[in-house]
Amino acid sequence: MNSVPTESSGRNVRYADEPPPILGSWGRVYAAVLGFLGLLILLMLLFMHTFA
Amino acid sequence: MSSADWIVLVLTLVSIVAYGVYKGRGSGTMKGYLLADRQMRWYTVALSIMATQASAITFTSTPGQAFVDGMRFVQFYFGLPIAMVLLAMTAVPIFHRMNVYTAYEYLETRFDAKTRTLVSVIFLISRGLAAGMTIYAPSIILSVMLGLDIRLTSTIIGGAIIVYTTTGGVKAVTWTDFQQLLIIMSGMVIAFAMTIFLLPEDISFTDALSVAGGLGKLNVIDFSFDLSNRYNFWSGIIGGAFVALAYFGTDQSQVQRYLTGKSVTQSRLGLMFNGIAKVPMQFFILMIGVMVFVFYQFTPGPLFFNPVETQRIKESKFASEYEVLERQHRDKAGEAADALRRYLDAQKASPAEREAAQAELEEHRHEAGRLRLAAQALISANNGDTNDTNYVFLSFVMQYLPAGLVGLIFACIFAASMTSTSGELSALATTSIVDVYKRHVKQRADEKHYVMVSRIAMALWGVYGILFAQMASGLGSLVEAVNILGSLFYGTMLGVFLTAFFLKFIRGTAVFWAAVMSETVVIALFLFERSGVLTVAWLWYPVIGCMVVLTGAVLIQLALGVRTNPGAQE
Repeated sequence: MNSVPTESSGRNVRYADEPPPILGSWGRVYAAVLGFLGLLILLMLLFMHTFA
Repeated sequence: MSSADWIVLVLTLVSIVAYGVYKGRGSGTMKGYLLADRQMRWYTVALSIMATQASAITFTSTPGQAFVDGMRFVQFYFGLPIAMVLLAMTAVPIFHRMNVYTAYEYLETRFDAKTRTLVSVIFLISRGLAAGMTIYAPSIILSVMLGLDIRLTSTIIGGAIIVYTTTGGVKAVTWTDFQQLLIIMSGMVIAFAMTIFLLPEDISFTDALSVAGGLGKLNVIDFSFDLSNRYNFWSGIIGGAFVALAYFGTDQSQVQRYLTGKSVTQSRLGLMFNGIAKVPMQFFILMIGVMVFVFYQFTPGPLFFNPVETQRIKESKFASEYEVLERQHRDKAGEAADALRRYLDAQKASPAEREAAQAELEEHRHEAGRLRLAAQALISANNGDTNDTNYVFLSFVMQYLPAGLVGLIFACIFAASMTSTSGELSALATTSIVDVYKRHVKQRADEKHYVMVSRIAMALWGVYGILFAQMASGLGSLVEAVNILGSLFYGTMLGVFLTAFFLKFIRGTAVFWAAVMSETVVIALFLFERSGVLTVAWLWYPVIGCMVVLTGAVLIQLALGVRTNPGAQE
């Protein structure tokens, strides 16, 4: 899981873009986080309409 | 509080300080002291980020806000997950690759020294004031509720933080954040369970939600677009995203949290966890406030929740008028509870009966509002603070929670105050040393010297926070005051960083003057709003500030002439 420095020059250390430990790519992780937000908003709307 | 409560409170505070000192040992280098050797795993980064953001104000004022204003405040956090994704894509890899101590160091590489210094100073001013407020806010509340002098409560909070931050640096801050957030969330879950347990026997949790809905407290989402409306879906998703982008992307107190990550992956995962957990967490805290509200619909509560102001008015020339209002409040409480029970029964009856029950409920709600407004008018006439939002939850805790649990909740409030303040103090010290002292005062010295001055800076910022807390008064609604203060500066800071990331042709001079222009516009807007000339809700300030920087920088650069810079790195 650690970043692997691939090139070093002075203070700048370049890191390879590792894949995330879940879902295979960062794009999918970001989509999952935003999808979860959408789901939460839908659930809150449902909650509000049920009780308000 | 009982002796059991005091024991729980003191033991929790001592354990926090001891744990911080223990975990922070061996921070003898700058990287160790200011960045925890960049060895933190994602879960530590995530909880540290959440703990720094969630101050004591979050746990005292937010339930009170739901009690008074309902759940709509949760919309403010809708933009946060979007900001987390954008930062994970842009800022995290850049900051890691540049191997920086502060976000502002990157600005010198990208632009020039004057832009770095300007943004650092803006950060030091805005966060310096906020750090004072994050000690002041819980100190005043705890002093009122525990009957202690504010000098004692602020010294306990500030003193404890100074002990573990000066000895252990950011490593101590991060690990205590982790420990404190676990304590805080346990306390809040227990408090929520108690609000349900203390409801009358014939009122179930679903009934309680129906009551809250019937009385307008479950106003979670509002799609109407209105610039003067503080909390709606649009201000939350757009304005909230800008506030979160600025806070997590440009405010060193947050950047420092994810710079401690062992790798880009660990830092990104920390931000992603925050993106997933923050909205449900705020929803849950607001729900505690709603349940306290429902509890007080069936159990007569105080007319006004700030005990000091209530005592003051009872000793003033308005005492008899206030007592009349209190009597009316008590008399109406029983009738209102009966009306609520009829409202719940009517939910299974015909539409006509439901309407009649709803109308009766509205009548009682109107009457309760009238009595509260009349009480606030008297308190105002007595030169008192009419905002009791911060005292609603703690008043409930002190009066109805069993011995031991009261101490735990108060320990949570102290702990929450420490998490946010320690993050702020460590960020202020790091920026003061890295961006000001090391950059402008003493560029060449050994590690030992910089660690020593960093420790001194931590202690001095801590002492400043304590003094601010002891001298400040009358700051009104605390949760909003902190957010409004941040919104005056965040737009400019975010605009500078977005320009750095995405507008490669912009140079230092253009962005510097655009930032000065932006800050002038936002402060002018704020002053216009205060004087009633113009109404723009504070959530829009970061959006406006950021836009002024971006457009201003482009226009100034075009006027100065576009040329490529071989030295620019990002």
